[in-house]
Amino acid sequence: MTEPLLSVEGLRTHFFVDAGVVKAVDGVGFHIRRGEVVGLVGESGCGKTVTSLSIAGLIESPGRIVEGSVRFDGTELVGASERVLNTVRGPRIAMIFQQPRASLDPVMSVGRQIGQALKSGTGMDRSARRRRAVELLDRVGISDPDRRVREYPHQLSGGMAQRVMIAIALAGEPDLLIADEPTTALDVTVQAQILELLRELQSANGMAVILITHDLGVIAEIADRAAVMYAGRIVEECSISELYDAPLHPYTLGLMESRPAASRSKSRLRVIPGSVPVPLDLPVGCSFAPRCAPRVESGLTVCTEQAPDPVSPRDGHHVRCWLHG
Amino acid sequence: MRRLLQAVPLVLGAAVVTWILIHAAPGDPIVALAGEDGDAGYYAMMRERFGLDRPLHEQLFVYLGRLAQGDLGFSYRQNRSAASVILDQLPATLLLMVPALAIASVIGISVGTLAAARKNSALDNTARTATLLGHAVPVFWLSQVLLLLFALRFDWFPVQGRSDARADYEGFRAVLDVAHHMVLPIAALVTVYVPPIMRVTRAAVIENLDEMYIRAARARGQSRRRVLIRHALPNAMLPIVTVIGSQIGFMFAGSVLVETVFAWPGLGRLLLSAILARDFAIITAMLLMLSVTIILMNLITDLVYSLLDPRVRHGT
Repeated sequence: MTEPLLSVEGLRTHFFVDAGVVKAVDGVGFHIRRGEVVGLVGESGCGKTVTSLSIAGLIESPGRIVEGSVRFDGTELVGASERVLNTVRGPRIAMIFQQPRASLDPVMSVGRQIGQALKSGTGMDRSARRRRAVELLDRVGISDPDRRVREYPHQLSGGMAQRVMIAIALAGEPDLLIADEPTTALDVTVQAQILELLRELQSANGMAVILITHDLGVIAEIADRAAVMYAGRIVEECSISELYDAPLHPYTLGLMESRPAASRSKSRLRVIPGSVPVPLDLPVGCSFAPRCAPRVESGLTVCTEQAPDPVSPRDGHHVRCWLHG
Repeated sequence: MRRLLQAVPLVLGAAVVTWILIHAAPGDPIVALAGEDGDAGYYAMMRERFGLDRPLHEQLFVYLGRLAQGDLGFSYRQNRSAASVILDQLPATLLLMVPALAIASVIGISVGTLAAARKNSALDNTARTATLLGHAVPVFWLSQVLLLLFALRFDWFPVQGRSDARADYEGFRAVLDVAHHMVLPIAALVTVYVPPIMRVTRAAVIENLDEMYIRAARARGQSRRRVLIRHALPNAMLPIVTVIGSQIGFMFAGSVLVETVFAWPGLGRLLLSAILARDFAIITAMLLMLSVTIILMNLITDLVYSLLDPRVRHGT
């Protein structure tokens, strides 16, 4: 197997706030091959976004990557200079975000913002950038791109703004797209359109995608593999089919069972008891242990004493759980 | 245009209020003009000549009637129309204010932006302390300290006035002479203008640096510096323009003191001497001009808004 496009190993990103150290990401590791779509799933606050910002080197004070490695296409990004990172961000690793309208500069025209993404490296002049911006808007399915290119973010709907963000992301023809909850803030019908667009562009361009979401349905739509995060760690990583057919981690099981399904629409939704631990005060041992029913049934004591290391009960299926170790 | 019409009653109100306030204040312009132990008949003649013998409300209506025709009144002291007196002094004041405001804007915006980019750094703390000091120091005191230190002690700059009365320079040499006289009063004014501009810039830039579009711009490869200058600062310009606009209105307050200390022949000094001489026409005309300036500045600020922000331009 060739070297993965991106490999993240032992990544720890902590935030040093007055109340203490928030270990938002605490030992995350995964890898992505070229052209692969990986879903990063988990509840709010589990560290998905911090993971993606860490990869792009966009963690701002009081946060800091305290340990770990992010290798992208042979280059180590942790500790890389701003100059190096500025050439990677955009042309090589692009990002789209949850709030597309807030992610566009309100006083800069759409065309100029796409132009910024084109500027780095391509050496295009102003009119060439303008033409390319129109092409890109057309590519992401915005009608009347000649007019839209001159418009400002407040003139766009949320769905259109996300299309513009995607156009900006595509401008540099990136190898990796990090999509952080790209459809969460949009209407359901628009969500489907944006996902469809992402899938179509991904297969056309062959770029790898990290899709961050709390929505398992979204993952099922377009991802090849999934990584489930809980309290700053990846607790399970496997193919989509295994995620649905044979999840191993009790947290993943809980997530799958708490999905509303049409077939049992009348029955009550299952929930995972308890709540996500406060990141300032993570339990000793496995972070999920206090909420874990199978642990109580099995009578394992190690769960509350020592954090489990990842094990691979099946090929390409990793899980951090004492029940499987 | 609607705003312009709304301004009319505002100006009228300001005119009436200032006129009443000044006539309610103690002091008699004729006594101030002719001296205290003058002939009673002469006093009466002068009063009649300027209409000061009539009841106050009649005087007010006469004043407003003339105002409507663009007549700002007649200066008893200078024996000519208030408008011409003010127009004579206006250039001198603008000569101080325009450069002072320009310099203060450049300093305030650039230091404020840098301080925001390096929040809590040594530079930021120094700038904030300096701002507090600039706020706290009374401008007349500062003017005198500047004068004592740099004009008298070190003799680097002339003490007072707009030009050297003894020399008779011509051409470029005369310009240099005036510029030399401008340095200290402008320095005093800049010290007063910079703090609010800097403070507002810093706060607005910090606020905008937290916005999501900053992170998104960084994610497409924009450097920290470009993000600061191309994104955070333009978005912060609205409050900055507001504070600069509002300062122009308040400038006269500062200029009265600075012009007095440096004996600068401008509007500020004119206002002070007019108040001392009970020169009603000059005082009311100047206060009226001041309120018109403030109202105009608000209009201009609104116009600049729509230039800077497409959301204002499109009325959303």
